[in-house]
Amino acid sequence: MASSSKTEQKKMLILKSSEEEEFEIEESIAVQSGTIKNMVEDDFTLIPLPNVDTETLIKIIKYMKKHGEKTKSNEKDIEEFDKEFVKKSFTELKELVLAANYLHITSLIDLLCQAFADRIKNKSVKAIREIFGIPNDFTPEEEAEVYEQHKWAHEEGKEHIDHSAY
Amino acid sequence: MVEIAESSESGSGLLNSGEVKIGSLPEEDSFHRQVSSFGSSGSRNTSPLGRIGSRNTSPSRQKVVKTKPRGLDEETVTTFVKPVQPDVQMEDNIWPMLPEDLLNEILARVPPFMIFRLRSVCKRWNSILQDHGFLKFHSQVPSHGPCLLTFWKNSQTPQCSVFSLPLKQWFRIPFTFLPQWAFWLVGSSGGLVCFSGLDGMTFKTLVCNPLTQTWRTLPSMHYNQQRQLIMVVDRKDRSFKVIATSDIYGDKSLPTEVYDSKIDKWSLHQTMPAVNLCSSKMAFCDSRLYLETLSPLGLMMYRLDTGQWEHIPAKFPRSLLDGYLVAGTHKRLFLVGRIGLYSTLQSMRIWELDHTKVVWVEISRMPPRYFRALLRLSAERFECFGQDNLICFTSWNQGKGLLYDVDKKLWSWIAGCALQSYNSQVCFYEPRFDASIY
Repeated sequence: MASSSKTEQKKMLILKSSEEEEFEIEESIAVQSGTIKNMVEDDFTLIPLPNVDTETLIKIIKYMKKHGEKTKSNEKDIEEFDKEFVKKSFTELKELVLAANYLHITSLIDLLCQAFADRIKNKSVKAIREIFGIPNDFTPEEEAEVYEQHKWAHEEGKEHIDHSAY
Repeated sequence: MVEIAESSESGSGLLNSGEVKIGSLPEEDSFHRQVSSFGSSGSRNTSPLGRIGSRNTSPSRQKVVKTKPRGLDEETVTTFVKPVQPDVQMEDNIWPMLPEDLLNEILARVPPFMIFRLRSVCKRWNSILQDHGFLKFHSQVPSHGPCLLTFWKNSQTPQCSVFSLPLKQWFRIPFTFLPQWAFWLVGSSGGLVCFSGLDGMTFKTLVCNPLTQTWRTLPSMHYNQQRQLIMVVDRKDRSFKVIATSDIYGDKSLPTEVYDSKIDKWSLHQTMPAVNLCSSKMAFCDSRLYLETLSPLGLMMYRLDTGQWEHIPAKFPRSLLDGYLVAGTHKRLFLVGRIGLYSTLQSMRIWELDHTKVVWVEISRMPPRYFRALLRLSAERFECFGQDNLICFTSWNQGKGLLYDVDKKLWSWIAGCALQSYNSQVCFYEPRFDASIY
């Protein structure tokens, strides 16, 4: 597959996922990614992204395309898009945030981290451990001690606590 | 009558003092976003048409099914990741490899009062969430929203609650560290809260950070009198000042005193002229303190840089009742009060001071339905205070709070906020981990 088409007005790039699937994208949109921007400056037109699987790359391209057409008038539209964009499972969000971090897309990292924070803030400690795959490494005594230190924070808003890991 | 005492009491309610660095994270550098360093983008290819023909060998992208952790059985399933069906990619083991900087970005966006609970997740989180550098980073995240802090003393026990406007939730904060004499809530600025009170015969002041549960008593003023106080924090300068104007009875002519945290001392300045006409209405903005004087209503201004008082000849609206002064952002100063003597004809209005023309310009009126709901009778007591172009009206007897957003020109009830107790004091408050009492 040929890379950039020199006859077209807009310069195109090809992004290749870890599963070797290729996607064509306008350079002007792709450079929202700092990583891709650097590679473009080094004259790459085929950008291999071995850290990003196809599914995630498709979502990221969708994000970049939407944000690439940002104007003063469609701000609300983009806000709506962002809201919908983060309505995904934790697993998907995790894949996205790792990819966004690797690709250095600042606005997407912000959006995803905020989504994580919003989703976990009311979660119970157990649910958070499940979501993040973190084993409890406290002994029962240590855990009780940490709990005591900020008992008031645990007590307050108890009725708001969400125990699901989704 | 002159009393100069050294600062004596201070303390920290935390078992682990915020000053002790527990985590191994370096101060600020680790919190700048870095491109994830795991998995480089293959080998550097000099040919633009080149294909990376070799199979991807990046360790983080393996698609094979991971074997379950040894010894995983039903009893331990609650503390470990849920076992999944073999045909589903088990990528949960990637989670602990979430880069430090991403985890920090996520945790920094969790509202302040929710951070404490997360310390119980695991040792690593406990360590991160107490790390000095992280807490500073957390405080730099654009405001987690304005909060209201209410304080009241139930006979001897101080009760303090914080209502988070964006979360629509109350948090009761233990204020057991507060000494008995702390009685009046002076106000809050930049994450610090100031109290005053009489300890025996001595008038004392105290600053604290409710979030970190740290506090200290300030040195005593030169003149031992109950004074009108206001506290202001300068975040850029990392310092705060407390200004004491007139004594609360308005019958003593006392020099204005200013406490500067950088030198930990009170200094004496010009006595406010017309001290007997002082009201309790004050607002601070743009390094100037504005104070309302009575009979007739007038405005005095104190400049921190010169230590001098000046009369501002702005004419107040005729037949103004209440007359609260509220500071906005930058140099904006608002005046809030009712016009009209008879209850059926009253309206609540907001004016802004035009500094150049030195006149009060009406900018808004409270819609009648809100006015009626807030104050059933015109004689109903209400409080008015503000911060950052938000003006809050509270009517204690009805337990309601009304908010006016000056920029958006929006009136709204504060949802989920049932304010209790007629004798509680309230102010705006920004919970910040990095607000230092020193």
